[in-house]
Parts: sequence; C-alpha cells; structure tokens
Amino acid sequence: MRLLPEPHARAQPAPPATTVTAAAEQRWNEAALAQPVEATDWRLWAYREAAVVLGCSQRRLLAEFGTGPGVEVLVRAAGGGAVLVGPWMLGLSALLPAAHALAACGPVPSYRWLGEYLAQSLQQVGIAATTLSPDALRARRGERPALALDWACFGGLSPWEVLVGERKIAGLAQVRRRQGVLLVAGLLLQPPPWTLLCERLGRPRDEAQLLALASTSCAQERADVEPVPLAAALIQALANAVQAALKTTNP
Amino acid sequence: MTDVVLPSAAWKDVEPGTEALVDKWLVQQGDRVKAGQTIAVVVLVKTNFDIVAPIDAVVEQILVPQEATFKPGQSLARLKADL
Repeated sequence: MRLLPEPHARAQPAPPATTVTAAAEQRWNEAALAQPVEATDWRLWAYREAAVVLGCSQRRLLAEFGTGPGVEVLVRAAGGGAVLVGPWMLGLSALLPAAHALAACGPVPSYRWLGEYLAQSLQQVGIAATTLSPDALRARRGERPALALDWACFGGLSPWEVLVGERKIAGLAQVRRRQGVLLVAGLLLQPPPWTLLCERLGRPRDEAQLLALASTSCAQERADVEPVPLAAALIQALANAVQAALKTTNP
Repeated sequence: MTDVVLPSAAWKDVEPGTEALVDKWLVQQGDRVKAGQTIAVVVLVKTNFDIVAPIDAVVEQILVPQEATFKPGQSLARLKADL
C-alpha cells in the first residue's frame, strides 16, 4: 500500500523532525513567544529521551515530583494534562501572529484546523483518524462519565483532538499571548510506557492500563507497516499539511 | 472602575458550563499597572491566555483568586483609572 497520495508525494520535501529534549522544545516555544510574532513558523519534534511535561496548571506537581529520581519532570506554558514525551511521540509547535486568521478565530476554532490537519495526515498513511467536534464531545460525555484520568493528556478529551475509533492518538494545547499564538500537539507514534508516567507522578499502576486503553498509536493502527517508514511518511504528510495551512490562510 | 474580563472571543464554541481557571496573578491589589501589561494568566480548554490591563490603572480589587474558576463574562478584577 502506498503511504502517501500523489499530491503530497509531489510536494517539496519537508524538513524532518528535529530531535530534541523536552526542555529544549519548551525553550524554543518560550523564545518564540518572547517577542512579537511577525510570521508563521513551525517545528516537528522527535524526542531523544523520556520526560514528563506537565500542563501549566499542574505546576504544584513539580514541587512534589520534580526533584525525585527518574525521568525529568518539567512544566509547559500550555494547559492540559501531563504528557510523557519520548521516542514514541512526535511533537508539533505551530507559531502564528496574533492577527493571523488561524489564531484570531479563537482557541476552539484554532484547535479545529490543527486537529483536522493532523487527522488528514494520519489518514494519508492509512490510519482512520477523526477529530472530536464539540457536539460529539458533549454527546460522548453524556453517554458515559469521564474517567478520572484527565491528569494525563491522553486520559482526557478536548474539542478537536484526534481519535481512532474511541481512542486518542493526538492531544492539543495552546498558548495565547499578546505577542502571538502557539499551538502544540503530541502524536503517539508507538505506545508509551504508561507505567513510567504513573510511577513518576505517584499515580496507581492500574491507571497505566486505563491510559493504554484510552489511547492508541500509529504503530498499533498500522501494525502491517514497519514503524520507521511509517513515521517518516507521517512526518512528511504532516509537514506538508502544516506548511500549506500556514501559507494559504495567511491574512 | 473598569472590570477585567477574559474577552468573549475566547469562549467561542466552548461547551456551555465550562469554566476557566486563574492560573496565576502577576499583580496584587494596590499595584499600579499600565495599559497592555499582562496582569494574570488564565487557562480555558487547555489554552493558556494572558490577561492584559485595558487601561493605566491601580488594581482596586482581585475578584477571582489564583486557582479559582470563573464563568464567561465574570469579572476577574476591578481597576481604578490612574489619572
């Protein structure tokens, strides 16, 4: 099976993901918003090592777990639950001027275009990804109570996040400052070691199993394809999609 | 007096009943602030927002404390114009 459709196969080669630590990614994000954003920019991130990245409202967990043994724990500027980054994840930072059409529309519509481009990129590599509209999210919450897992990004759901069936494959968050807007995403290439996240943050081990059930990854959805070429094709598709989105909708 | 609120555009398409959270105040009651100065950070649907002072003013009262939640249109603080 071809991993990419013809239009994207003909597109200019996209830059590959930059391999970084979680701390280096956060420094790039902070620096990008430290001054007025005058042009769109974006990066795809691969992670050389594991780290726990807390949402900004989880800062108090840093005091409790930030200095203990094990993988690094740090806080991001964006909200949401804890993310276990590592070689199993692809990260995305998309930077927009505050007045850009994709930013000025408000946070939930901003999530929409990003989630839809992520889903389309996953579809291009044969993964039946969909986005979760606010209406669908409301209906879903009405059908069944949320699990008390939203301390972890992949244990909760927000508008326009990306699912395969009932399981989350990509989480979204953003930062809105006077200087500009930063949208971030984390996409699971392979199943993360959820026990590592639970142990690091003092959560019960059985929550690791629940997180595994609530999430999925590219490798799980395309077990028929070698992970490395699958990830490469996805990076290409995603890079082309984000590049096109930021270019064509510039006001 | 001028009320400080999270702009209504931030609430567009947000599920009714959702509340935002004051992540941190960067000023205290009695502080003098400049128009455009970031005075608080709030979080709504995983989005971190800067809240800026709309005018040169003195922070008369903080109405929603740090780590408390608030509804659309709810005033976070009251500013007294610095004349």
